[in-house]
Formats: sequence, C-alpha cells, structure tokens
Amino acid sequence: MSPANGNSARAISSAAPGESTVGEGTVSRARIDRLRNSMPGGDSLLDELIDLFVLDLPTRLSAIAQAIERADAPDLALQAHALRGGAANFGACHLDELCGKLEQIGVRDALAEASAMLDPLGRESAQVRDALLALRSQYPTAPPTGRRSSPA
Amino acid sequence: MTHRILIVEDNAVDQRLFEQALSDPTREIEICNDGREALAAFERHAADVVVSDIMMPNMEGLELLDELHRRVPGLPVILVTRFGSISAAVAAMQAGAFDYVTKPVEVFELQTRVKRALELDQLQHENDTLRQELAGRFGPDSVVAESIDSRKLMELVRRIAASHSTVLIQGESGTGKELVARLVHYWSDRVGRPFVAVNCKAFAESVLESELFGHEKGAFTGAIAARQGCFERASGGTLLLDEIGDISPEFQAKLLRVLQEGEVLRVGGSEPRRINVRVVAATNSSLQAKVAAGRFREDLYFRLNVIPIQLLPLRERREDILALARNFLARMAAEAGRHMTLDLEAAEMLLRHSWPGNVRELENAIERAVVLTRADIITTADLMLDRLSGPLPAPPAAAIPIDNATPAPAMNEAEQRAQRATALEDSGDVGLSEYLDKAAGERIARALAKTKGNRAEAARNLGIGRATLYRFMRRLGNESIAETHDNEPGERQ
Repeated sequence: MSPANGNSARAISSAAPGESTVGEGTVSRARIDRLRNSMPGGDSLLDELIDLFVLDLPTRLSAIAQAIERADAPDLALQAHALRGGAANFGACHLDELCGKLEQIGVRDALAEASAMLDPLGRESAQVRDALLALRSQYPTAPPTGRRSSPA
Repeated sequence: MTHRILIVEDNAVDQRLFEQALSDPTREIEICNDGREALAAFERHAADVVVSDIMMPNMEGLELLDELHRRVPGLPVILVTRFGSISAAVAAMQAGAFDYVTKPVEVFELQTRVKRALELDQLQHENDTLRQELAGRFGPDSVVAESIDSRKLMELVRRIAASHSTVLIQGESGTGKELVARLVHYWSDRVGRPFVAVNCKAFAESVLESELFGHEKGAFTGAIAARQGCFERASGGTLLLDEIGDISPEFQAKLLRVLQEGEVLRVGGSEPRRINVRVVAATNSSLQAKVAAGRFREDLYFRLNVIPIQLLPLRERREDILALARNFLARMAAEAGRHMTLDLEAAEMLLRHSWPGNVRELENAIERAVVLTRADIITTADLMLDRLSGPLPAPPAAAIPIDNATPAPAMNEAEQRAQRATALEDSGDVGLSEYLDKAAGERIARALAKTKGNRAEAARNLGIGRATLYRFMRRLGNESIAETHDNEPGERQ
C-alpha cells in the first residue's frame, strides 16, 4: 500500500497549480493520512468514506437549499451540521466553516443571510468532492452500494 | 460476553467511521439516524454503551441522554460535540453523559472512551452481582437467629451498626465473631466501602505494625516499595482486629495512639495520615480479666469497649443448632444441586452434642457429612458425633492413631473436654474431628486422583458443590489430602 499512499499525497499537493479545485486547503492531507493510518484496512475505509461523502453531498446540498427556500431554520441548522460533520473528517476546513455559518444562521433563525451563501457553498462542495475523488481514484474499489441504515 | 453499542449519528461518513472504529468480534453494533430511532432500538434491545451526536433531527443528543437515563440510570452515553464547543461539552457532562468526544473524531480517542465505558459497565455489573450476593449472605433475613438471645443480638447489631463507635466482640472460638463484625459493617452506611479483617495473632510483632500501619519504601530490609497498611486500606469502611487480646503491651500502646489521634504513621514514615475507619475488635479471651491481670492496658480496653458484644457459645443457645444445621445443609446441598435433609435421629444427635467448637464445629460436621454421604438424608452414621462419647471404630483407611478415651456418662461437658484434651496431649494422637476430617479427606483425595486433579469433576462425582470441596480442601489443606491420597491409593467407597 505504500506506493498508493505516496500517490495520494502527490494528488493533493500537486493539484494546486492552475487547478484550484484540488489542493491544500480544500482537504487536509494530514487529517486524511491520520484517518487512513488510524486502523487496519485504512485505505479501503478511506475510499468507502469518500464514496459515502460524495454520494451524500448532492442530497445534503439540495436539503439545505430547500430548507432556505421553505424558511425552515431548524432544518437548515441540522442539514448544515450533518454536512459539516462529514466534511470535517477530511479536513475540508473551508466547507466546514461555510456549513458552520449556515448552521448558526439556522440556530439564530437569521435566514435572510442564508441565500447568499448557497453559491459559495456549492463551489466549495464541488472543490472538496473533486479533491476527494482525485484521492479516491488512487484506490479503485467496487462502487458503493449505498448508505447503511440501522438493522431491522 | 457480547457488548452492544448503539451509534446515533445522522451523517453517513461518521456512521461508517464510528462503526469501523468500534468493530470487534465481542461487540454488536447498531446504527441509528436520530434520537427517536435510537430510543426505539434501545427499547427493542438495550445497549451497554450509546455513542450519540449531540445535534440530530427529531430528538437531540441531550434529550436522548435524558430518555435513556430514565430507562437505565447510569447507562454510559458518550456524546459527540463539535471541536471547540466548550458549552456543548459542559452541557453534556452536566446532563450526565459518561464522556464526550469532539468532531472530527480521532479514532483512538473514540475507541478509548468506549472501552472505558464498557469496562465501567462490566465493573458495575460485577458490583451489582457482588452486592446481591452480599445482601443475600448478610441481609437481615439471611442470618439464622432462632434463640431469644440470638434475636436480641441481631437487634443490638442492627442498632449499633448505624453508629460509628468502636465495638468489642467477645466470645469463644467459633461463635461467629467475624460474622457479627461483618454484619456491623454491612448493615451500616459504610457498606460499599472496604471491610478488612486482620488476625493480630497471625503476625509477628514487627510485621503486625507494618501490616496495620503500612510502611514507607526502605523502612526495613525488603521494603522495596511503600505499602498501605490495613488502617489505610479500610478507609471509609470497617477494620476488624481479631485476637486483639494477644497483642503485646508495646503494640497496645501504639494502637491506642492511633485510635486516640485518628491517624497512622507508616513504619519509616514521618507524616501521619488521617484515617476514617470504624474499628471492631474481637477476642476469644476475656479482656477484662487480662486488664485485671495487668496484661492488657486499661485505657485501650476502654477505648475498644465502647459497644461490647458478648457472643454466647452454641451450647447455651440450643434453639439455634437445628436452624443453623439446616441452613448449612441447604447451602451445601444447593451448591451440589442436591436436596438433603437431616433425619430425626441425626437432628437429635446434633441437639445433644456439646459443640465445644461452636458454630464452626457444627458447620464442619455438616460439611463433612455432605462429603461422606451419597444419600440425600443425613443420618447419625454420617454425623458420627456419637463417637465423641464412645469407643471409636478402627480407622477406615491408613492406620491413623486416634484418641480412644471413653468419658464416663456422669462427666459434665467441661470434664469431658478436659479428659479428651488430656488424652490427646498425653498420646500425641489426633482428635476425633481430625480423624473424621481425614476420612472425608481421603474420599476427596481419591475422587481427585480419579479425575486427575479436576476439581469440578471430582465435586460432581462426590455429589458435592465445588465450593464445598474448596472449603474442605482449604480447611484441611491440600497437602493433608495429598498425603492421605499417597498413603491410600486404592479406591474404597
């Protein structure tokens, strides 16, 4: 697995020049390495986590947009909180920060500020997704089958 | 034992990460998307630990914590908060969470917290089991007290247990001084704190000081590390000083100082340590007589004798004999999954016997009979107590020299005991109890030999419980059983 590790590290650090979608600051190499090394089978787990995040992302973004449209502040806070939690695992600081602001907007019920954040949120989410998929491509595995749910 | 963990989290990445981090063959993990779902899952099948996000749809983490604690107070719940959210962490702990972790979660941190929670759960489970066991053994209903004197004694113990005063228990050997000391402890508010018993006679003077007061590292040759003494180990609880009448005048002075000052100085130490211990002293001799003879300090006697308890010998509370015997028999038979009773003649024999060894002798006699008999009814032949006042049969196995004294019927109990003691001293022979124990020991040794030392199987073959077997072996000592076995390799039933 060591060559793959090296490739992933390059994928993050070398993506920056001329390609702002993948680079340091979008996701954290240190955080991802720590996650990978934290338990046996870390490479495949990382792939799985990336897949889950990427699959979940459109649904979350859509839920956030709908919450703003419906002026549903509590739901906005919850959706932003959930997206933030997933993003934090990859050290996606900027996305984390944007979600944090939206979460606070929801908590404070200050929805007037929310709409303006949708575009930056969409752009940052796309960058994080691309950065992660760039990493993901280093470790191809079977496509994810979907989100786990609690057993019956 | 499989531990069940509930993970309550609404984002798929954390769900999977937590699941993977906590996976273990000894654990069953269920994932829930929100608090309401978690509560339903918990009601279907309770969990040992719950790991929950603090902010979730439907039911938030703190509300879930509250609902779970309504169902199982003290259930370990680990809440997941945002990094830097001090107020959420404080709120979690104030609400009774076992612990919290912050997002993004560090895998090792989560694993450590959950492991600790499961260990606590295990300890609580063991603690509950032990408490139930203790409540069974030392509960007010579990003590056998048929005679008026014994009932009065139990009433006295119940009253004094609530106080913190020093207690002096006096009574012949085998009358149950330690049991009463334990009741004083378990019926007091000190229950749950340590009960430490020390036989003062069992230690040499220099060792006793270190044993009771502790020592500092290097205090004497061999003191390679500092060690707490019994006073410190019993902190918050009760310390039984058994055979207190046998300590030297020098040690009496040291003990008096500790009791007066309420602090101990470890051997080799310079800083006294405060102690919070209830002292219960016990002796089978008359401390008052020792004081009168100048062998025990009067000031220490008064310090110990705040609440005096005098235990009567069994021969002076005969109403207790059968109740005790049946209690012992029921316990020992239950250990072996048997139901045993005493026949009428055996019961009469127990009532006739003088019980110089008191309750301990009675317990040993029942235990021996359980070991020796394969029937479910204990008869006089199993008890063999009649042979105390008659000629003894030839030894069943090895040529064990025995006391052949035959006390005249007119002799009183004291005379009979004196004659037996004299006979034993004169001849150097073993007493009847030892002889009978040896017979039971032989049977155990043969059973052990047959099972190649497998005690559980030996106990099964003998029709006794393992606990009975262990007690017997402890009482006789493994060596004596092994020795008997070496002398008698053949199987005889």
